Amino acid sequence: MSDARVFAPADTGSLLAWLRAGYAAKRPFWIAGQGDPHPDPAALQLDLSAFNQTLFFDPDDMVVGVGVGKKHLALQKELAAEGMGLPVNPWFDDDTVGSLVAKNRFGPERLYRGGVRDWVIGMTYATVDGRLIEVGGRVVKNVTGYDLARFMVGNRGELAVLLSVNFKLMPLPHQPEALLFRGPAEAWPRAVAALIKAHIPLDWAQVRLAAGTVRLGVGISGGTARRRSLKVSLEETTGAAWSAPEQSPDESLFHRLADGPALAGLTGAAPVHAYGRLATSVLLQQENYRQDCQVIHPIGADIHRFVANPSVLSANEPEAGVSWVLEQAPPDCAIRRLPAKTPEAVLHQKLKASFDPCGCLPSHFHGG
Amino acid sequence: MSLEPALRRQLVALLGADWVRDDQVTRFSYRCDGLTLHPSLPAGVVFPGDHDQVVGVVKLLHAAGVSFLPRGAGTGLSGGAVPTTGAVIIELVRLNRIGPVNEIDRTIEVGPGVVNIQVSHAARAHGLYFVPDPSSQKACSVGGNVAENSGGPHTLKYGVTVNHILALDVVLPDGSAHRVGGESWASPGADLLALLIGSEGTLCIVTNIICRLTPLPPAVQTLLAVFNDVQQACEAVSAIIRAGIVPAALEMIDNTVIRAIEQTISAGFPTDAEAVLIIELEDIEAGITDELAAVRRILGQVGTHEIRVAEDEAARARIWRARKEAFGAIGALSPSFYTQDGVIPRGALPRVLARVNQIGRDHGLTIANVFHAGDGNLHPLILYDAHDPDQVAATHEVGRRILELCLAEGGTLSGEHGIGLEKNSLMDRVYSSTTLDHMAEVRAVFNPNARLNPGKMLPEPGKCGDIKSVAALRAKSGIQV
Ligand SMILES: Cc1cc2nc3c(=O)[nH]c(=O)nc-3n(C[C@H](O)[C@H](O)[C@H](O)COP(=O)(O)OP(=O)(O)OC[C@H]3O[C@@H](n4cnc5c(N)ncnc54)[C@H](O)[C@@H]3O)c2cc1C
Repeated sequence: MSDARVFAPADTGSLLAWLRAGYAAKRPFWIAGQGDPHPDPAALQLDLSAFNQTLFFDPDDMVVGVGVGKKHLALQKELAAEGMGLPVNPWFDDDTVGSLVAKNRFGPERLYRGGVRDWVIGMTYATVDGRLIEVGGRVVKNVTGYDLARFMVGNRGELAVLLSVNFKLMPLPHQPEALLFRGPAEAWPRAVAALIKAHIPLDWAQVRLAAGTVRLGVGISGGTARRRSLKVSLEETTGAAWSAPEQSPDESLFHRLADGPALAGLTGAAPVHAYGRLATSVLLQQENYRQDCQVIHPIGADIHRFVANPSVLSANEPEAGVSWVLEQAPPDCAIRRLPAKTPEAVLHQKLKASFDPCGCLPSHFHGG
Repeated sequence: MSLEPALRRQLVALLGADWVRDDQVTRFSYRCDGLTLHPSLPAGVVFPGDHDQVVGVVKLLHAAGVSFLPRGAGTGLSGGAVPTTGAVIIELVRLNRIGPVNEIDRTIEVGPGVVNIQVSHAARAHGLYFVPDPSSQKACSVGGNVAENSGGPHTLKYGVTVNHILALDVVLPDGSAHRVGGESWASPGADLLALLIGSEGTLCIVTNIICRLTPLPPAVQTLLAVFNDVQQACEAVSAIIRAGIVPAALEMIDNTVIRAIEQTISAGFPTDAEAVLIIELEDIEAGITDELAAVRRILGQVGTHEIRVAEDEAARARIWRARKEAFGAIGALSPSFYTQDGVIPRGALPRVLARVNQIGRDHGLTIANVFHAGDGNLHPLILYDAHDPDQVAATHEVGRRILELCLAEGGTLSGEHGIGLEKNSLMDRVYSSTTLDHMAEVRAVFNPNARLNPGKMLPEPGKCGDIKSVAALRAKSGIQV
């Protein structure tokens, strides 16, 4: 059954025509997956699930181009078949490539592999008035013109309609292995602080607090000697034992909320030095919100907090100095449009006015 | 035309007489950057000493309706710091403060005038370094690196400048100041930092930079792979990448450049080799052995003539000195040369390099190659005599054909040197007019009258053909770096 409030174009041509007509009529809309719902209840939803093709994949050159409607997990599977991967593995199983980029997702590899912006090399997007823009390219190094492809990372459906993204890739880690911190539960913040100082080349690192249990895990890879040496470094640095998780040694921490439902949450970013304060506050809140699931990617001090009941989030005052973005919140959630006081707000507003002069798309960060 | 007297007085009142120059010698010295093809005299050059003075200067120039542009060390190779006639150069070398290293955040705050290599020097004691390492790193400024989104030999594994900057303080052409980014690794909203980095001084003037630092590798192995055949060297590059190995650096030097290097700095490279590859591997001690073995195996399979592994730090430094001073060494072979910068998909390297050299031969010119092979980032150096007008014309033609070849292979116009005024007339070969108009709209958000660094990056309306012919006429002093 088709929903009159959803427009699902089959191809670029019909999308551009729809945008042009809508622009003339100043019709509000929002892009499913790339942004949160429009506050205007009359707004239409743009569904880009038909844009789900892999446009090119050259494993020898380590590049891929893919439509925004493709599921992130499906893409990873396709890449893995050739020993390649996109080193960004966020927490939401339903994420499409469009969500990954528009919402600037990150995952436990942030430590050594950076974020989405570090892997985007090109993009196609449509402006709200229905123009097709192709920026960047297929090569891994490119300074030809303004880098509007990377600029679009994190725009959350405020500026334009992303259609396809080109990424550079990395070979999958060789013989990956997860290790869990086996020191006393309350010692994990100190262990993380030691890891930050020690410069150990890990593949990923994260702390997960769920239902009152704290787990600090890291990923290592390489030949036996390399992994043995890294394990010794971890033990020397933290003064505690590290060993493989009981089940599915290489996956249980690496891959998302395997044992939990997809929850609403906050994603925060803070300077690494704020990590100690964050860790403490997370621990304190853990006492109050036992059902929260909290995750920290310790280096880079990125934090995700997932909860079953989003109203809990508004009860928790966000930390000062941390910029929080609300994720996966249901449309009726009171703090759905969490204001983020970014220092560059003035520039963002100017750009928003240029990209979307009629305000057809929602404005999540800086007011309507 | 030098500075208008009233404006001059205001600038002197703000900066002091020493820091406002519009004498003939200064103006002549600042007529070009590393690309001498399009010289043009500035009205004057001003030298602000801090962020507030930059704001003050910009406000005065804005009020006077004068165009202006920022400049770092002037090593840019695409003419980004060449003033259009009458523009005022804002020279940023005095903004050279190096802040302390923050070991926990792995950051350092520096002024745009700081020389690139000084950042890594400052970070070294903390076991950290600044990844972007252009071959010009002993001279170029971090502000210039940010403006060009510079790369370098070691950006293959860890990324170019945009991947290593956390925040910028910027001044817009109307004199307003903004902080973009912050100490954390991400901030909400579209990635403004990514837009400003690589904007070639056409959107803002950078007055302060928070750089992200990277831990120094615990172990490094540097190999020199020697080939009797350039094609084999290209095959080796493709084979290494295909095997899923991402070295820290993977650089190629051909015979012409090897001979120049040996004539000038005697690095001990074999002058009878057709090409050498510099391959640098980084890891912990226990991991590097496996990777080294894998690379050796691949090199053996493609028929490498000889593999030399740097035995110690001195040998490694010798190899890198040769690589980083290779452009300069070319002076031993040719009075002038033109450095081209194009990118191709890495897999296309074997066939493209052969065609690049053939294009040179078609026009009777020698092409020397020293480049970032692992990224597919070519730097053909076209050797010519600036006093021979036919050779100058041929050089233009060769440069254009090489870029067309890169585009035909699915590549692009520039991997790291930028568009500037060297290649803006070719932008319509890469992007549709819709995309170029859109870029112009983005520029207008920051730089509405195009008064900041006019005539750069985006094609001037109706000027695509003109620019090329004017450039040919102006090529009096040669196209040297
Ligand atoms: C021998 C040689 C080797 C080179 N090797 C490499 C290499 O390996 N990799 C590479 O990427 N490049 C290389 N380059 C090119 C060049 O060194 C880089 O582009 C460098 O980043 C330019 O820095 P600069 O300080 O000299 O900038 P300039 O030449 O002074 O300026 C370059 C551009 O940046 C703008 N700009 C300068 N400062 C600021 C500021 N504070 N705010 C805003 N805009 C500003 C200018 O307006 C201009 O458009 C090489 C050049 C030479 C001569």
